[in-house]
This record gives sequence, C-alpha cells and structure tokens, in this order.
Amino acid sequence: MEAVLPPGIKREQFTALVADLQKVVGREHVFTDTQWELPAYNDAYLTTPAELHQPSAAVAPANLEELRRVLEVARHYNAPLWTVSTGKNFAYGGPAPRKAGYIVLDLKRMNRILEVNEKHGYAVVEPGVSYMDLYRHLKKIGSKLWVDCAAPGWGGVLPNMTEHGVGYTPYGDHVTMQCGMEVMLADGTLVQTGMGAMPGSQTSHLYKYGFGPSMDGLFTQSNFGVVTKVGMWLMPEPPGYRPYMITFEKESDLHAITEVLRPLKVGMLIPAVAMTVEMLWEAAVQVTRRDYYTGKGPIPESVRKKMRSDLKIGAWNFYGALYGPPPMMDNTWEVVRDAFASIPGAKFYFDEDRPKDDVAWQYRKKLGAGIPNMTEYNVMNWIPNGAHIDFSPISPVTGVDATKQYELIRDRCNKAGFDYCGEFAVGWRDMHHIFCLTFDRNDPKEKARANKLFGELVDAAAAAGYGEYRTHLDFMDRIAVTYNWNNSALLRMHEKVKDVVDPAGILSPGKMGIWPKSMRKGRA
Amino acid sequence: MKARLINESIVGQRTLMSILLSAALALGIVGAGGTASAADVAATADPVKVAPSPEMLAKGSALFVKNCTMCHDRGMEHPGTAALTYLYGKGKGALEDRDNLTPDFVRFFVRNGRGLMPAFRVGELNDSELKVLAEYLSAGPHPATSEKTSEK
Repeated sequence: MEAVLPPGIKREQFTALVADLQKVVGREHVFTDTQWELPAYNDAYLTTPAELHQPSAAVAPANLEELRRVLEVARHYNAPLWTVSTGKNFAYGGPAPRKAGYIVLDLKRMNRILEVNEKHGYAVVEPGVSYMDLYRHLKKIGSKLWVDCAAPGWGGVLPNMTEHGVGYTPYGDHVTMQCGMEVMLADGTLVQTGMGAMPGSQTSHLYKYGFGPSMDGLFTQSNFGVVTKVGMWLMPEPPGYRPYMITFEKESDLHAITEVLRPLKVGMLIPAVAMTVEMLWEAAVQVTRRDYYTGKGPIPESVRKKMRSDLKIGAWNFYGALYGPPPMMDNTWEVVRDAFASIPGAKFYFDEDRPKDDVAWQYRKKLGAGIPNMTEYNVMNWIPNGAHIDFSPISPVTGVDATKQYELIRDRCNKAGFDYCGEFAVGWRDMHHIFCLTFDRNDPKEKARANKLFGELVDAAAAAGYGEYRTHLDFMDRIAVTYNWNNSALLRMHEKVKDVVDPAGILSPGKMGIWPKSMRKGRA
Repeated sequence: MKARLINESIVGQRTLMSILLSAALALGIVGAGGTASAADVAATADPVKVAPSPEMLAKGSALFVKNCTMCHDRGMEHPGTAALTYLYGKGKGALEDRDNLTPDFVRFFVRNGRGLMPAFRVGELNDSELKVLAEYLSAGPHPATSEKTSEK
C-alpha cells in the first residue's frame, strides 16, 4: 500500500495537518502507517481496486471537544474527512472513504452508552456503540429491554440507524425508533434536535418532533453534520416470544406469499419485519457450494431440489414471530396460519419442529428477539474467499412486484454466472429486496463481473421504477442520479443545503452522491 | 518487500496459500525461498511458549470475548469458525482450540484480515490490547469461552 495525499493538499501541508491532528487527539490516535494501520480502513469486499478508496490517514477523537478541534483542523486545511462510527457498514463500503486521500474520521472511540431508561424504554448511545455492546450492557445491568439489531451484530446502533438499516423485531424500522439526536455541524456548532433543543427538557427521547421543522432526517444518509448521539427506543421484553417458519415448495409461490403477507403486515398481525428468504440464502449459511456442486455457473434445479430436501427448507422460506401473552399469540397464530395455509404445500414450523443444529433457524430465532450474532456472514462461506455487496431496491408489497424484481435480478445474475441469493423484507408498507451478490475476492475477473452486474441491476431496476434504499460507495453517484425527477430537484436541494451547512465541503464529500461545490462536476 | 506482500494480500490478488505464505515470509516463519504449503506454515509456526500469567489469561480471554467470539466462538454458526473449519477440517476451526498460533501470526491477520474477515482498526482494538489478545491465543488451547460467558 502506497501512501496517498488528500486531494489538493501538498506533502508539506499534509505533514503539518497530521501534526495538528496529533496535537488534538494524541499521536496514538492518528493513523498514517500504510502497513499496520491504514489497511484496516480498506473495504474488504470491494469490487473495484483498493487504491480508489485508500485513505491518507485516519483520526479517532475520544469526545466532543476533540471532535470539534478535529473539524477545526480540517477546515483550516480544507481537508476532506470521511465519517465512520463503528466502521462495519460492510457490503456498502465498510470503513473505506468514497475517494482516495480522504482522512477517515473514526468515531469508534466515542463509545459510551449514556443512558438506559427502563421505565420509558430507550437508550442513548454514542456512535461507536455496537449492538453487541448494548446487548451485553443491558444484560449486565439486568435490563428487561431488548435490542433490535441488524443481522451482523457487530454493527453500530447509531450508524445503522443513520444508514436507514432495519432489524428483525417489532422495532425493526430503526429510523422510526430513533428519538432525539445530537449533531456537530462542520463549523463545530453542537445541535440538539427535537425536544432536546429546550434546556432542561424531560422529553428529548420521548417525543420525536419537537417544535418547528423536524431536522433529524437531514442527518441520515447524509454529509450535513456528524451525528454524535442518538436516543433509540427499545422494546420491553414481551411476555411471550414464539418465532415460526413457513416453507413453500415452488419458486412461483413468491407471488402468493407476498399477497397473503400484505394484509397481515398492514393489519399489524405480523409485528416484526417479515422475511421471505430464497433457498440459497438458507443453504449458504450452513453448507458450501462445493458440498453440492462443483460445476461452473448457477446451480441446476436437480441439485437445488436435493438441497431443499437435505436441509428441510422450501424454495421460499418465510420467517415471522408471535409476541405477547400466550392467549394473544394463540389467537394471532390461527389467523396467520390459516392465511398462509391457502398456499398449497405450505409447511409450518415452530422451534421444537426444527433440528437443534439448524444454523439458519437458530440465527433467525435470535434476530427476532434482538440477540446479536454474526451467523449471516456465513453466506460468504458459500464459496472460498467469498465477499459480498448488497443490491437493495424498494418495491410495493405485491406479488406482481416481488416476482418482477426477483426475475429481474435472478435472470441477470444467472447470466453473469452467479447464484441468486436474496430475501424480501417487508416493513410497514414497503418491501426491501436484498440481493446478496457473493463473489470471490481473490479473483479479479469475478470482481469485475460482479461490479458490471451491479451496474446493470441499478439501471434495470430504475427503468422499472425501483430505487435502491442504500448502496455501496462505488454506486452512490450512479444511484443518486436515478432520483432525478423534475431536473434532479431533490439532489439540487441537497447540494444547496450542503453549501450552507458545510461551505468548505470537509464532511464526507460524495456521500450518497452529494458533493460540495468545490468537487461538483457537471452540476450547476 | 514486506509492505508489498501485505498489500497484495489485502487487495485479495493472491490465493489463500500465497496469503499465508506472505504472512509467513513477512513474519520470518519460513525463509524467502520457502515453498511451504499452508499446512506446512501452520505446522512450522512453532510458537515460543511463554508461561502466561493468570492475569494475562483473564485479560486476553475478556478481549477475545469482546472482539472475536461473535465470529470465532466454537460452533459452525460462527462464520470465522466455519470458514476455518472448511479450510483445516472438522474440529480445527475454533481459534481457542489451536495450539499453533503465534503472536505475530495473530497480529498479521487482525490488522490485515483474510477471506471474509475484515481487518480490525487500531481505533477499535489498540496495539496493547492486540498484544494481550495475541499472547492469549498463542497460549492455547483454552477451555470453552462460550461456557464461561454464555449469551443464551
């Protein structure tokens, strides 16, 4: 790894900049060593050359005062910072910056759990707190509150929310469950949003909207400020938890599953984020491709059939859970079961019906109760040296849309020589389709193919009216321009805001396609 | 040379054996002209065992739980353990069962990652913590951590 400089900054200036950062946070928290320190800021799952995202340095402040002074140094040198919190946003870029030369602003050391409020059910956390940290803390203090975690449990409570991530309990829509936010602006001003703007407020983490415009959304998936603290509502442990799985025999059942599911979700009979998972995802977390098939290209149907039978899974596998007092769960189950039983071949399972060593079931069971784990990363063990990027378009919850999206991705995926591995997550009124594109990170040709496929999917989805909810660094610009209604009015508004709140353009330039004036090419 | 080898392993241009060999070369485990296989590297990584103090073991174990068990605890539901099991064979995937790890070997993979494992940043696991963790793993095998700190 060769050392690089921030864009527009000369060697001598960089040396002075690093010295100034060291004065702020201490020598040991400024990282410039290309052998032992900076490689960890690479994205392990890149489909493009690592050089494109190679930082010049990283700096890790421990508190608000150090952060304020880091921003001061960055403004002085016009140096681009790239903010990461826990740095585990893998499949979307991990801790790597959008462009080479940026200085990573690593907030991992700001990792305090500031409050757990048992009575009102919330926690207040800094950026570096992982789901596992919060989970272990709640256990330690004997709390009866649940965490709602992303599938990779080492992810961060705050940054997953700001990236619009979802979990698997009834509190799975993380942005909805966020209440109260503290943000440091590029000029060092500290802002409390919502009720927190009132000195002595008792309701900073109880009422989301405050007085006047609600600003919190401006700081999610954005580069308008550095989020330093959030309140997250936590679900009290329910009197009962009964996860279930329903398997479906045919690939074409996706249509019917989705149609049955919509009214159950809208009517809140299925309170948690509901998952319809394709068979390969289920297989990949517990067996490898070479256990079943050593040929090239997508796995043939005869082999897939054997996998379904061996692993007791369906072509599609639905995961949901009942929460509440037992009589309530019993009654709800009758409605849910009868609805899905209308699909021929549906098989129903509770915990006692699944094998004890069923890795797929066990981790889904944990996720439904907010128990952080990393099992889902097993999907990368499907092939040797597996890595992945996720393509995640949003659609209405209809059978037609689910099937159309599935076929749109599956066909292009198979044509490019990859296995389709995906799932549909239904929230309130939307469906996230997560396609986990797994590739061999040691094979440059395969990486290039994965990158090309991803680009084709962006275009094909946009042409069909489907937009992505989140994406990898390499595709931020490409996806941002698909949101171009009325001469890209929204993107131009983002840029206007950027120019006002961060005129020097020091914060995460290019995040979600939002560039500061100095780096904006071809835009007014 | 050292930096170049490490860089190549990071960007994933090499096969697993080459990565391990690079690591071994970088760490001086095999000579520059070595043609060791992955298995040889593991076997020749002859650790200089230092009698670990109970204090160090406790610290190392706590660091292992905090940073590693989510992926490396015993059991195939842990992706690190599963990956190493696919590589080395059944019963050989859990790091705490290993008797052939060295501090330098652990340090290399923690700071550079491998396969599906991304590297760990100094900001999340600092050098002095990594030193204790590496010594702990090199003093293995260890009794089951998961039983001591059950998350169930």
